[in-house]
Amino acid sequence: MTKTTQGEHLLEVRDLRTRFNTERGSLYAVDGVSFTVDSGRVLCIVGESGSGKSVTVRSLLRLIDPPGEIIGGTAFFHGQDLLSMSKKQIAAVRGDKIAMVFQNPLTSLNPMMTVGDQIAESLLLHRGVSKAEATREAVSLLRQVGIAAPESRVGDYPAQFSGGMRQRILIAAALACRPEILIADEPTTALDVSIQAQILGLLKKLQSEINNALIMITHDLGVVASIADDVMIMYAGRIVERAPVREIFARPRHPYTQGLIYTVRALLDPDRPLHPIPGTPAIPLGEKKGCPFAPRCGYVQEVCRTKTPELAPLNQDHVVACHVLPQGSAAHA
Amino acid sequence: MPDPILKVRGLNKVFQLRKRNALMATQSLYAVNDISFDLGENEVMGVVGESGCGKSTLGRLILRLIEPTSGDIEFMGQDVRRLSKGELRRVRSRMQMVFQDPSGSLNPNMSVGDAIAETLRFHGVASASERRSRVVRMLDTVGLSEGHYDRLPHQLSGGQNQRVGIARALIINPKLVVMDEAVSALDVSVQTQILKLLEGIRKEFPVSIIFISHDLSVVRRVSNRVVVLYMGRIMETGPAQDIFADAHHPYTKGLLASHPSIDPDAPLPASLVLKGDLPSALNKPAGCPFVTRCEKATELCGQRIPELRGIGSGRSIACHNVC
Repeated sequence: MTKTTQGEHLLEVRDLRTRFNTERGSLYAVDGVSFTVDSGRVLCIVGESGSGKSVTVRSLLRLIDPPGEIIGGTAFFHGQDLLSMSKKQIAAVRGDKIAMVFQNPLTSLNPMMTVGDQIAESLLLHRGVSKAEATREAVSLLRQVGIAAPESRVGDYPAQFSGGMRQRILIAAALACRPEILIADEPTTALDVSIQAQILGLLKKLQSEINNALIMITHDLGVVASIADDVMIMYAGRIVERAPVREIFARPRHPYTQGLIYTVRALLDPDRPLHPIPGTPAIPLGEKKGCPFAPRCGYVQEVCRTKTPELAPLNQDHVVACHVLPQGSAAHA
Repeated sequence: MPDPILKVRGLNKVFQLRKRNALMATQSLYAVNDISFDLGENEVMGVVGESGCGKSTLGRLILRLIEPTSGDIEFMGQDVRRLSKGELRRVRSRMQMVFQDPSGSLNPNMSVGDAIAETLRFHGVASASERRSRVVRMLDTVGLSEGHYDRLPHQLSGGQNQRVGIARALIINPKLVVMDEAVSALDVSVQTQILKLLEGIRKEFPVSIIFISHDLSVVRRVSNRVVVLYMGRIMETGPAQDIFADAHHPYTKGLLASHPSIDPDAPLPASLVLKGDLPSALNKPAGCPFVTRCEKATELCGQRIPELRGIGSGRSIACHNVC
């Protein structure tokens, strides 16, 4: 978060709410989420399964299908609200100004289409360039993402590439129109660790070259530490903490963030005892009161069970939603 | 050193791939190549490597869920490869497996209590009341309660189902448990609960564990000893502490360097990160399998496979260039 006032952010999301109507009742997958995104920054959205991190970004691009529906909020991007614009308008933004890379490189590419055509697709759609120009650009994008001999590979099909190469191709396709915001949803989770390191390096390099905003969704704090500028921790559809990356690792203030960071540190240090966060991740089903983390929290007080904590600033860059704000016990130091 | 509980010598597994048409030559996939190791009593051996390195195949070979192409497996003094069906069934009661997908490996229509009791029934515990009381005790051991006995897998969370998977493996007091990516599908907070549970169980039950995982930090946490696999071969092995503190093999070094640290001020060391992709296991390279990605590779590496050789302190390495 840079020192800008309201209206100066590239993207400004306010009170986003997305609900899924299930057999078991209403699932508030995203429950009042507000955040901003700035050019030249990498924002990591972190959370466990069901925390609402993917639904948050899919809501921004209006990729929510029934039984899911966006029931509230605004997301202003260049003065326009992504959530209320027409389907035609959002389709023009998607893949052009805001592009997305999905988790599974094996299923996100069309097996019947050459990789060159898939990269060229958004250029033809959004930029109205000629086929030859689009193919030339596809070759240059393939080179940029580290595919060797791109001139000869542009006509190959996805099956002729390895998993890591396919993720590079998806990144090339997403970058084709030079998006101002690139959203990457667990882009390295399905990859081996050595390939993950290559892809993280590539994303970081491209982001600093293009100077766009990167929103990266991940459950892996190692990925966060290696790529993020800002970190947003989600739990049960809500943001529980947001801070610049160094701040969040050095001074986490939400008990959930503290638990996650301690856990990962303990894994790396066999001499530290494990202190697992008890219980299982909350599912935001139905109307509820109180802090969603209260049932698992070691610092829980009476107020936590009755009143939902709102995000409040600790300092300019660091916001936390917690009534207690523990400094971290000896166990979580 | 007391007798190892498991001795593996020169283990190989070659899968013959079906021809897709008459003109195609038969292709061979060399999944596991010339693997030898000993596993001591109560020892936890971590097996790490990237996808396709043969780590899951190795686990299945040891339990003889698939047949080795060649090599010897000796479990508690018995040659596992020469056992008849009946003998194998008896030996299997001492060796168990825990799988990655906790709910997918349970029968969706059977209560989790019955699923655990099934192992006892299969291995000859006849009395239903005895089975029930042993299962209830085991549920307690893995952090569940009698109230979970009649639940179906879909009524439990992923972490709870993995506790059931562990209970099912431990209920007949096995000497060896192979855990194949047993915590990989779980959220990190739940993963830690299961690792903590394993630490507790190891104090209570004398059991040897082969812990297969792609996750280096998890392996480091649970293992006494580590085996690093690449393309079906052991690249390096030794005490877990030593390997993680001071890896010798260029592949182990690259693997460790690729693992992101949680220190925002320690960027990925680009120079050590492994370049390129894993080669295909279809065509056995003449030399070291790592030669295509190794920065230290010499002419010899492309010609001769380096033998796994001891370098002292319980460590071994397969590399021509590191002494």
